[in-house]
Amino acid sequence: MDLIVFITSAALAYAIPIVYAGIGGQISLASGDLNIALEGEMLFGAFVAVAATYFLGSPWLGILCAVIVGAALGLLFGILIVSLKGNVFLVGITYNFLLAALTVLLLGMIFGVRGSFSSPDLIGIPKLPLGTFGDIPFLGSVLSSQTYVAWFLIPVVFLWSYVLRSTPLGLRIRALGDNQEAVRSAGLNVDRMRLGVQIVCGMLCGIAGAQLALGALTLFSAGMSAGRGFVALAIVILVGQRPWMLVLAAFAFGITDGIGIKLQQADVPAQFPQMLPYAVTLLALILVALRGHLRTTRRSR
Amino acid sequence: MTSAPNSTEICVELKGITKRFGAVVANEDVSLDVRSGEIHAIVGENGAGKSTLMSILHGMQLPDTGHILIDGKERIFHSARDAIALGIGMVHQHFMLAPSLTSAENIVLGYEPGTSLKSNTRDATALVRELFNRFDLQVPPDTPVRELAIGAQQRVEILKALHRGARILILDEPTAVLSPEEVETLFSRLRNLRSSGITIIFISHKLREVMALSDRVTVMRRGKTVETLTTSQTDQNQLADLMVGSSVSSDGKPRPVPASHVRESMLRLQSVQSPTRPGNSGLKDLDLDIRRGEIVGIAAIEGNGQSDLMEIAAGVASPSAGQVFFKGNDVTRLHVGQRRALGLAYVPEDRHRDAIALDSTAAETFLSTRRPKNWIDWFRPAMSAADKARIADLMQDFDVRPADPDVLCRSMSGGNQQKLVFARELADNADCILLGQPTRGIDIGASRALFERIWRSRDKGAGVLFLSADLDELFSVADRIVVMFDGRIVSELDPQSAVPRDASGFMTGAAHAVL
Amino acid sequence: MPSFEPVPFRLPAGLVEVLATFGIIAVIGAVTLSIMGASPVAAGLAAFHGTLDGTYEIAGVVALSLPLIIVGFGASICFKGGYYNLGLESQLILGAAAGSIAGYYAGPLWSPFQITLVLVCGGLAGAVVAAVIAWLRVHLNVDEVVSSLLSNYIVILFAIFLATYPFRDESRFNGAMHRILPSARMPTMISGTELTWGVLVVVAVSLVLFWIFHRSKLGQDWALMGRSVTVARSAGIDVKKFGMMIMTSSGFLAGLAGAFMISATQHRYFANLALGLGFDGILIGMIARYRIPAVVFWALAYSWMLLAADGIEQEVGIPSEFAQVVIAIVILGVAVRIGLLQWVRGWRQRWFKSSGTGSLPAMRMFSANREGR
Repeated sequence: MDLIVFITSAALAYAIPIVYAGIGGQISLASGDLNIALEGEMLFGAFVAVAATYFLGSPWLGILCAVIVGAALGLLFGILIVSLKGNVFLVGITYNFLLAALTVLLLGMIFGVRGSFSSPDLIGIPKLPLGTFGDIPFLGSVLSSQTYVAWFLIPVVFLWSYVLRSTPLGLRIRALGDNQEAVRSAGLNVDRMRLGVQIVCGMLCGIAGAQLALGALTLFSAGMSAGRGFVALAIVILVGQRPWMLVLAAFAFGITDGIGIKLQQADVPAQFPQMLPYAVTLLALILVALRGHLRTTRRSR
Repeated sequence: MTSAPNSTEICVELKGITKRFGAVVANEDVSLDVRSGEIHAIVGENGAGKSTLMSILHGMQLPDTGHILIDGKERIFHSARDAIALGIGMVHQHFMLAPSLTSAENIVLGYEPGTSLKSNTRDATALVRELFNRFDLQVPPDTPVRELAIGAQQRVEILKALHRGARILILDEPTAVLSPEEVETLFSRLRNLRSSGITIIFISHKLREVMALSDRVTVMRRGKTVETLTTSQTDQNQLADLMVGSSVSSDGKPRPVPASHVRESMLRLQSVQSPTRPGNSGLKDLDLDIRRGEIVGIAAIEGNGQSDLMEIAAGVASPSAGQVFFKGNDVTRLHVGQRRALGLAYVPEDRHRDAIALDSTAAETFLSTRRPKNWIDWFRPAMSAADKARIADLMQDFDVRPADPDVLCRSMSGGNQQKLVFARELADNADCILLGQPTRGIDIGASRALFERIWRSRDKGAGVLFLSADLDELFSVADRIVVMFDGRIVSELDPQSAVPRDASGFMTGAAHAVL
Repeated sequence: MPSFEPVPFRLPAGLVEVLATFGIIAVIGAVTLSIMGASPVAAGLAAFHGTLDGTYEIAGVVALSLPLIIVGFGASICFKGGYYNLGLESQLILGAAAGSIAGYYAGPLWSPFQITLVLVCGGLAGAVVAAVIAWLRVHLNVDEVVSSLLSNYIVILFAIFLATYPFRDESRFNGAMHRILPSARMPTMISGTELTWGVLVVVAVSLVLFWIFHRSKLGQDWALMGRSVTVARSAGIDVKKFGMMIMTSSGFLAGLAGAFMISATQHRYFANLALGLGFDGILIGMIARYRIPAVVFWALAYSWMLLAADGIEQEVGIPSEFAQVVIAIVILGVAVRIGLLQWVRGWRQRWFKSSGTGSLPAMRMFSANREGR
């Protein structure tokens, strides 16, 4: 039973930042832009959250700063791909690279350290007190160790899935990804909508970064996002426009991560368990593509 | 045939509209007036400036000079939304629909009921149903539009405009993609709309339809409005003369008679099939033989399999069943590069998708179809000085401007790009030439020059497959015309004895010939 | 008919571009340094002393640039062909591991032969990984951007596994392979420096690739693939075969770069060797806009900047990543330069012309999506 508790906790720790970034990616993809800068935006969000929390003394202000900076990064990304018509992939690759180097640079300049920063003054995001619910066997210990930001994910997913399915805003975003000209001919400002989407995506990546650095751990280390942004992107490609499937898939990959951590304690070369979440994601991507491939060939015969 | 307009009140007036794209003048000093409650047709050849004029009227583009008056007041449209606000709705030739959204969602897009954060799905469906009833236009509201037939998609487009409060409805070539029954239904719906007070501007180059539907008709030629006539007081011949600028019969010079050869087969398609897709019938067991020294014209309405036919003949797509023979050899499994090496030339229908990469230079475009024969050729220089000189000569010869091999295709006009493609495909005296919509976007002089060359190639013994949306063009160029409908060949006509009107019956599936 | 002058000598335009880019780098660098409170002049002097004032220093810059040049070629030819192999990072590392294995376990052989073996093994290791990604892209339509990004983590961990378990040098701490045999090492060119005769390999590769990509038919068709796959198909190019070839050869070059590092300077593969080098190569390919001579130039410039930044770090205490930040900013500028120019032109027009004419934003349709691919 301890094992289940352990794996569930690890899965949540892995999945929650991915879901935040993944929703950002989902909004972006729904509007027609495959944003591969999620990784860098999340990493930078983590850095900003740590730095702001350290200097301002409050994780709430840390999160706020991460969100604001995330919005600014998203806006800049949007300007580069929308207003200046940069190729979304080239800009995305460079953006990831820029932000990763920038965190190392700022880490050295602000904190005078290389690699990673941690301090007793660094306060993590508080955990939501559950009162008597925390006493539920097994589940209680998992749930009571979750931060406010983790719980906040639930309304966020509800809101996003409501906006996407049932509001004019969601309709317009979906139409944008489907056929830009349809939206343009309705007299809507396509460029402004795409910019807005990137801002929201940046904000969500900022929260994802804050949870990553101040959730289960309280530290920042260079490259700590470790491909989570790319996994989020892969999940978005897998699940399309279904927010709850995103949550489910992220949790499933989180479980493989949890299993991987457990396996590392067993007598297995550590590298294979570490590969697990990436390998499973890639495998899922291949299987979905294979299914689509079989379906189209059958139809054309 | 048609009732007179209810009033003579003018609701749309365009005065002195001029619009240039670089050096090309799309509209020059165009004036037009449309009366409330009439169906006003605008006719003209491809490239006469009809679509540009309508995108100006719909706020998609600003005119360089000129005035737009709506209900007597001068207006400036900065975006489509301005035009929509004044009740001008447009049904584009290429539908502006989001394919994975439902019809109801497409109809309300941008003009949703309720506020931006209020749930609206049910409201939207109810509202759309009410529209259906009011205008007697039925479409399934909850079906994604990509699953709808073309006619239904067009109804979604019309409903979209009506939902936005259009009183003036512009339809850009609405019949191009429709089956004959759908055309009939569309026309009766449009008459209904007219009786409920909607003004309709109907753009077409099909005179028969214009005569059948419109109250008044404005003829455009080369970017200018030539004349506006009352439909009941004119006829097709007069309109045709006005469109072309001179009498049609005297314009076409006598068609050269094909040289008599032993007519062995050049390219033969034997019971080829391709899958049916939305908006495209695919091919259903089609046989076609193009012989040495003949020009076979293909007449068909868009989506009846003619594009599949071209791609399968070229080797860009492979048939799901059937065989392709080139000079007697089975080439079904050879792709276009290998067929080119055997003496095939191919002008694709969609220039920008398939024929020209805008970032290539003219010389690169020219040489792109040259296929290496063995591995060492891959490593030889792509272009010698002699190649370049030859390309420059050919460009001059085909009147490509500028005749500079180093110029980027992006900086050439569409007509010159197309002429460059002709130069590439016709330079090597191929044995079989496939031409997909070759005259799209080029002027009459260039078309004429192209026809001369095709005739010359034909006389040298080439077999030519010629696909065109323009029936008059087909009848003046081809030696034999094959009419396609629903993925099959339904008729074969001799242009010496038949006239374009004979083909149109078969194209719409209305008539069936015994082959 | 008209006679033809030879193609005009293009260096001036290239020179202008290089000077402009360096100007921008200098300005951004100086501004960044000033903001950080360091003196740009002191930093500039430190940059010069560490890198350019002597044979050893220059040899150091060149030695560092050699693997970057090769992997920069890998990125260039791939992007030029319209495919985005972002797995160059891990393909390089696997190539280093494979080269390291071949350099220890095979032989000792005649040295030129063994060096070739090391390089080829490294290249093949990278090529195999890239070929798998390419196959998934071409036949199953699995987006190669995402799959290659994910593959990085898997392949790097696999390389570390190789160094930690089956091919581990027991005398070392965790995760290092055996030092390759002397016969597998490239001979030093200037003693006391890391510069080896391997420079000849890079020169040879550069010349071959220059011929292919700037002169030959193959290069022309390759570029057409990058411009429009549909046009390439109608022109008769077998696009699936080409797609496989484009991805696989870029993987080969990445692996070759990794093995080159082993044979020339590192002499063994260990965990964390060469992390980030593949992405550096991608940046170099992008800033060079996929042109072979420009890749050589920018790889040299890039390694100069890295070493200069190290010098600056020692002298004025600014972390050397600032060089990467500056370069990334410049590349962003390169990536959007067409849009940037249009924007500037638009403003200039708006400034000089009072009346608003011309096409509205509504008609400036340009989709940044990859529809053409």
